[in-house]
Amino acid sequence: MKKKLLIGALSVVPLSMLIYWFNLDNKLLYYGVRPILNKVYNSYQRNVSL
Amino acid sequence: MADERKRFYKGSGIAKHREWRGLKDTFYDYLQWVVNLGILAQFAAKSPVRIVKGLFEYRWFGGYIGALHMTDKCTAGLRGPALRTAHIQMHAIMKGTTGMLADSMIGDRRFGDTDAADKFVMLEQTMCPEIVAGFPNLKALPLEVLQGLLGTYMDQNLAPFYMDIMENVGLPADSCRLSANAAGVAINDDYPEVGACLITNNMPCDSSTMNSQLIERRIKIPTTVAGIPMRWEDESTDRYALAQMKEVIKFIEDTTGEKFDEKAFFKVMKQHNKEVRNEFEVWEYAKTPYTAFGNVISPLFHAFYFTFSGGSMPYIDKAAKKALKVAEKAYKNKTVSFDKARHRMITWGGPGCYFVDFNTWAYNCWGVLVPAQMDMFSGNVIISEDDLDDALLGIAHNYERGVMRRHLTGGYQHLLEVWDEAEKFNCDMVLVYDDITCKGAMGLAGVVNDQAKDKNKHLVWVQNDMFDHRTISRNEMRRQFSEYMTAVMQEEPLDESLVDFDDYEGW
Repeated sequence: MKKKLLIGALSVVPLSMLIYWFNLDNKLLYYGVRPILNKVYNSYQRNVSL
Repeated sequence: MADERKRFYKGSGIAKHREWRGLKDTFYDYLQWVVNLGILAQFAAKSPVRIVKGLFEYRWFGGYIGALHMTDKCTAGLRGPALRTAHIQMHAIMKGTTGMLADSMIGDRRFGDTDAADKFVMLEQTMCPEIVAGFPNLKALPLEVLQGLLGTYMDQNLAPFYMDIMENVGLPADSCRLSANAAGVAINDDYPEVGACLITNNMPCDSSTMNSQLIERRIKIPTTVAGIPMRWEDESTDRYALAQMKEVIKFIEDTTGEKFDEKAFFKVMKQHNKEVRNEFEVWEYAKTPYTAFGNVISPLFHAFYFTFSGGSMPYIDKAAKKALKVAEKAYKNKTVSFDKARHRMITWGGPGCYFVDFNTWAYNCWGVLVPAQMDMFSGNVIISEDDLDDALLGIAHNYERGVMRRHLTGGYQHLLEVWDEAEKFNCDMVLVYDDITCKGAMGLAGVVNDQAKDKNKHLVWVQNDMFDHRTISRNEMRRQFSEYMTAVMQEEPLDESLVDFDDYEGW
């Protein structure tokens, strides 16, 4: 168990470096999250009269 | 010849991989990215359910997912001390912004009634946060800026939706884009329902007055207007300014039941003064070739604490002092942080907020370093730390010299201060933004041109539409500047790939 935890903890650093270097965070947010959010926002009907 | 643009996808402007800055600086940048993730995790942990609800409720909130991308854009090409000061200042901006966003959601009555909602005094546009300093149980929270300006820095697609709503109901399409966006958010009912009361103000133009009226119709909390004099050099306005400050304090007392606490007030004023003194020190470094402050983040840091902190965010002073230490070391060692700089340029007028990293681009593409821009000269008033009337007048003075007031409506001579500041910051070039919907600045275009000729200065105009990239895109802004660099300055780009590229669909 301890060994697994240690391996898990040690792999966080190289994994995060990979995410950083290949800009995976922004790619996921731009190409994955953003279109979903836009779909949700576009589905709302608001009363926009003055 | 560098080919930096190869690193990005066409259209979206998303990087295929992050920038290689050499081993040491890339590793430093990675560590700062981890710190930024930590700030975002802290933000989400403040009230996970309400924050997620907010993200799905408010379209403008979705723009903030571009925060890490914005950091990358604004730090592009930075190395050594310049990279360090930029990240230090950016962390403080991120901490402050996420804190205010979290507060907006925590107090939002849309997601269930909560006592937390009454702990906030809402401030419209750039209303000065110092006015809430005497109420230690209350917090100032901005309305409009989170839903417009800050979001547009991260996502150029945020404001057009709201501006279209404003125009679709028949309101004038040639109004200031900041006000148009604020009005659109109000009409679309997209302001969080938070706060015990709202303080609006006599912002300097007709379109701003329009959006204040629309907001007042939609906001369900008591409001008052703080009428702050525009002609700030005229001493006869001081009595009126002081009376206004006192009226606002009374309004806060009446609507919240809280009492003004002088001791707490002066504590914040001391902190405000520290922030201003730090800024003056930054300027001294920025004037030299060994500056670690330049491009976009340092002016952004100033605008941020002027608008939101006013002494109430202790980490602003800490971040400023940490950055100053880096700058001092760089100066002592005569380290040239911006080694690609061939020209020094001051920027003036209302910038295109959807192209927040224009200065960074100008540096990387053309070797033009921006050590100063107009917003840095907003506020900067040292306030009395022991006399209440003097201190309240000091707050009014600080605000009168604020963003959009000091230079654009405080008397034409202040817009023309650009030449003196260019001299002080050793700039051989002056860029004046032609914000096409800002009538205040437009009226002086001819005078600025004449003065440039008289003074034999290199003056370049770059058009923008503040929040609307559809009218004048980022690439069009680049084209206008590049044309000047080639035709007048007779320069070759440092990186040809950055002159003309497509990022229209991007954040």
